[in-house]
This record gives sequence, structure tokens and C-alpha cells, in this order.
Amino acid sequence: MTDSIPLTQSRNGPARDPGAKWTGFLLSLAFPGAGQLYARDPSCLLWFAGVAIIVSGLGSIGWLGAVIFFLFQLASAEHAKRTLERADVNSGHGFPVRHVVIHDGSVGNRIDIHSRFHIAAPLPEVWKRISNVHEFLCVDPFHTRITTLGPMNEAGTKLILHHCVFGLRFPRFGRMLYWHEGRGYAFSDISRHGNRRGFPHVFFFDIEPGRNDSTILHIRVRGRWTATWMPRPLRRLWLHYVVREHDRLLTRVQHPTNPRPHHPIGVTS
Amino acid sequence: MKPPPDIKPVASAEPWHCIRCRRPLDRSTKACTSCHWPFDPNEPSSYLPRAPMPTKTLYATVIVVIAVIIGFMIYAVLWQQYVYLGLALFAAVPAVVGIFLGFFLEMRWFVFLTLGCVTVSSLVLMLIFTSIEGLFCGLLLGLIFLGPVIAGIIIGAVVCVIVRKRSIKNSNVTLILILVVCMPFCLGFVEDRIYTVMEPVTVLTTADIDATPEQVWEHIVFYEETTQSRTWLLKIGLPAPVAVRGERNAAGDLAKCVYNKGYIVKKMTRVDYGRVLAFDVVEQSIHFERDISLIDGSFRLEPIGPARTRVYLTTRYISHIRPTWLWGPSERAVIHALHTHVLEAIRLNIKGDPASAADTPTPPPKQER
Repeated sequence: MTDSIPLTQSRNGPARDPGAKWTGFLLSLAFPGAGQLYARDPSCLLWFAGVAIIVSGLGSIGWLGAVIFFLFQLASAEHAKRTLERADVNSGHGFPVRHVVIHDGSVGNRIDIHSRFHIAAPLPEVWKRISNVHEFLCVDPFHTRITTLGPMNEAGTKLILHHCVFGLRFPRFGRMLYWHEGRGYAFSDISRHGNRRGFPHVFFFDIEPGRNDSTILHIRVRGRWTATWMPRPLRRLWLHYVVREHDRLLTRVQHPTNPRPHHPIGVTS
Repeated sequence: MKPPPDIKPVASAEPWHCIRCRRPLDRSTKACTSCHWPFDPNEPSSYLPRAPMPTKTLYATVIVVIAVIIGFMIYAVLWQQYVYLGLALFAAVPAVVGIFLGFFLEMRWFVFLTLGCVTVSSLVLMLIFTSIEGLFCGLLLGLIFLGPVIAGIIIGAVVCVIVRKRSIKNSNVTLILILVVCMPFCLGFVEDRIYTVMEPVTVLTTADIDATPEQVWEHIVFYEETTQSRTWLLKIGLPAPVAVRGERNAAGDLAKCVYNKGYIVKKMTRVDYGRVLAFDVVEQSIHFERDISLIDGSFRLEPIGPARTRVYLTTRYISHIRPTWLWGPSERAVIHALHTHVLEAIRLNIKGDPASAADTPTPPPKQER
């Protein structure tokens, strides 16, 4: 399957404009409803009405009103982001996931987060999906495009991982660490400043057969947290947000064939 | 076949740059000569087709934005939290912003100065647009903030040098930065506890008008009733007057002066025809309540010649913002400008009235405290 892929390949992720969701996010953060308007979603009217109600009603509360309005802005921004993501819901990137378990085994600055997806699909089908790295790796909160500088099914192939975070676009770099045909692969994701800055980490994607023709997908992120100035609770909050976003994108609902996960996402640590 | 929309043809004239180290690429090779990262001439996403934005510029922009947001948030919280405003707000907040810039940026002094000005301007604009400060106070704040910001930049740069030389742990640096951010709150707390209500300030302006006291009395107007164009200081320093409702013929009369941003209710306390018109400000809602409280005011007329009257225009107020030496001159300047405007209106009214005999030019008003 991978033989037909040229040596150098790059492709956009599932979104038509990879940065569009962040544009919507920032617009709604600046003014609730603006991102929804950008997404041409009628819910923008509700957000605008909400702004009017909050501004007219909470002005007298003082700083508490400002805090409530800020939370309203955040909620609107997240909704706008998801609205723009939903535009691609039929592009075929979600998995029919039955159950997701996240295990956080991080100790100190060593990050080790493991997500286990129980997918109601046979292993070859799942492998077909995840082996298409140019599309599968873009089902991520921040990855917008993957460029492989060599055959992707070979260890050592260099990768350029184009990121877009809150509208800021930058590339990160890595190598394919291993490629086990039909079983999984791993690659590194390192800042251009080297492996001592910008959260160097490795992604492991491995699959194994489950019961009743299902598949278990293991996604493991191991790396070193370099922003040591950041308070640990904040770091933990951020990492969990990113992991949950990643899992949400992987398991997002595809009507009508992909039902919602049967169980809520659970976290163990 | 047309290429996909994300792969655009690259202009050949511009030099390509390495996507990793951002140095110019030699197109005849397959990898960057500096960092050895490969690129594919047929794959535009494997190199930078044009010169990238300098990382330092991007980093500085991000730091300035964060500094402005931090400064704005601290200012807004302090402004809401504490009644008596002082050094915490006008010195500590800009100093924190400066320390943040000085600590995280490494620039030449004139670049620092420029960044300091940009930061102060952005912070002031945010304060004005969010209606925390008015235009006049915002402009003054811009000038006041510059000094503490520059001092903060110097402190931040010195702390940065010390941290590097002594290899202080990152966790300790975080603690230092948290303490720096807490500094305005601590200072604000102390100021709020030690400050009490200040003594009222009296601003007096006098003018000699060529008319009898009775003629002047007939043409007395409040600031809100004047029709001539206001000076720039009044335009940016005070809300625009809209109308006056009510009477001022006898003691106890109420006059409601309406502005574009609120109103003031004046209660007449003494009405002696041709001599004194005094009033108390019984209600004030013109967006300055956190800065000053108006107490009272009066017009006092004193004959100094057969057809010449000296008008004493007085305003008393209590200032809530400190330090007095910093804000006092600007407060008095605005009130003197207001008095001058009112006296000029009285003079113009007398001139325009055919019944008034006096039409000779008179000297400008004298300002006294």
C-alpha cells in the first residue's frame, strides 16, 4: 500500500483551511459570536444575544461581571472552533470508538500519556486508516500538514510537522523511529531549536486485535517538559486539554454511521 | 494536471530559506549547508520560499502582548478592588510591565525604549477602550507610565543578568516573577489601609468684567449652559454638557446638569442677588467618581469700580487619587480651564446683550488656588 507513495509527500489535514478553526476561535474570543458568524453558523445570533444580555445585566456586578464575560468569551471561542471542525465531520477521520481510557504516567518533567481506544472495526481497516500518516497525523488539535522527506515506511525518514496553535503557524521536526507494517509506528516531534526546548516528544501509534473483530489502538506520547517555569497544575491542565482534544477529534461523531462512544472518556493516573 | 491548492508554484527569484535553521538555501544541493536538514525543490512545504520573519521580532511581539495583557489585568483588578488609588496603580503596574519586558527581552536600549512606548500606548488604549479611564486620564497615564516602565525594564534586565550569572533555578525564577506580579496587589492593599479621605481642594479663578454686579448677575451661566466652543482641554478632560434642568432662583432650588456621560445635581445654598450664588453638589454621576468628588461651588461678585466687577469663581472637590503632587496640577488645570470658559461665556453674554453698556476688552481671568 505504501509503495505507491512518492518519496516526498505533503498534504493538508482534514480541514479545508487548517488555520480556519483558530481564526474562528480568536474571533469569538475577541467578540463572542464573531467566530460563529465566520463559520456561517446561525448560532452566532444566540451568542450575540448572550453578549447583549451579559453586558446589560452584569455591568453592575463589577469585576465578577468581567470574569463571567471572560468565561463567556472562552466558551464562545471553543464553540466556534468546534463548529468549524464540524464542517469536516464527513471527511472520514473519526473512528467508531467504543471506549477510551487515558492513563497519565508522567513523573516530574517526564511526560508519559497513554490513550487506549477500543475501536469497533477490524485491524486491517484501522491500520489502513492510521498508516496514511499524511491524513491520520493531521487529526490532531495542532497538526495541519505533514511533509515526509523520504519513504514513510522506513525508520529514519525525516518529517516536517506543520503546526497551527491559536493561529500561530510553525513547523516542528522529527524522524520516523520505527514502522512495523500492520502493527504500528512511532515518530519524534521536536522543536527547531533542538531537543532541549519546546517539549520534545515521541508519538507511538500501535494497534492490536481486540475481541469480536475489534481493534485496540494505543496512542502514547512520551517526552520531556521543558517549560519548567510553568506551574505543575497548569501544565497538567494543558496536557490533559490537548490529549482530550486529540481523542475527541479521533472519536468525533460521524452521523449516521459513527455513533457516540458508548462510555464517556475516563482518565486514570 | 493542476496541482492541489495547497501546493503553490514558487517564485524563482526569491532566495529559499531552510525551514529548520532559516538560513538561505543553495538550490543546487539537496540539504541545508548549515543544519543539513534536507529539502525537496518539488515540495514547497519542505523549505521557506521567502525570508522568514525574524524570530526575535516575533518573540518580542509575543512578550509585549503578554506584558500588556498582564498589566491591563492587574490594573483592572486593582481599580475595581481598592477605593484609594495611588502608587500601586500608577507606578507598580507599569513597573511590573517593564520588569517583564526587561527580563524576557534582550535588546538595545533604543529598541527597549521603543518597545516601552509601544507597550504603554497599547496599555493606555486598552484602558480607554474598556472605559476604565477617560481620554484625558488615559493620556496623562501614558506620560506617567513611561518612567516606571523604563525603571522596570532596567530592573528586569539586571535581574536577568543576575539569574544567568548565578545560574538560579527555573523554579526560583518563577517564584521571583510571581512575587513581582503580586507586588502591585500588596502595595494596593497597604495603600487602601493607610490612606484616608483627603482634605478638600479649593480652586479659585477671578476675572474682572466691565459691567455692574447686577449686569453680571443677570448673565451668570453654569458650564453646562455655555454655548461657545470648548477648548481641547475641556473637550478631552470633561464630559460634554447637554442641558440644565431646574431652577436657581432661591436657596434650595435644584438644578440637574446633564452631560453625555451622566449628570450632576446642584442644590442652591445661597442666592444673594448681585452678590453670591453658591451651590452644593448633592449628586454626581459623571464617570469621575473614583477620581474626584465635587463638593460645592460658588460665584461671588465684588464691585471694584463704577462699572467694573470682579467675579470669584470657586470649586471645591476631594481627590481620591494619589500622589497629589502628580495628579493635583492636572486636576486644577482642568478646573481652571472650566472656570475660564464660564467667565468667558458670561463676558460674551454681556457683550451680546444690547442692554449692557460695557463692551470694552477686559484682562484674562487670574488663576488662584
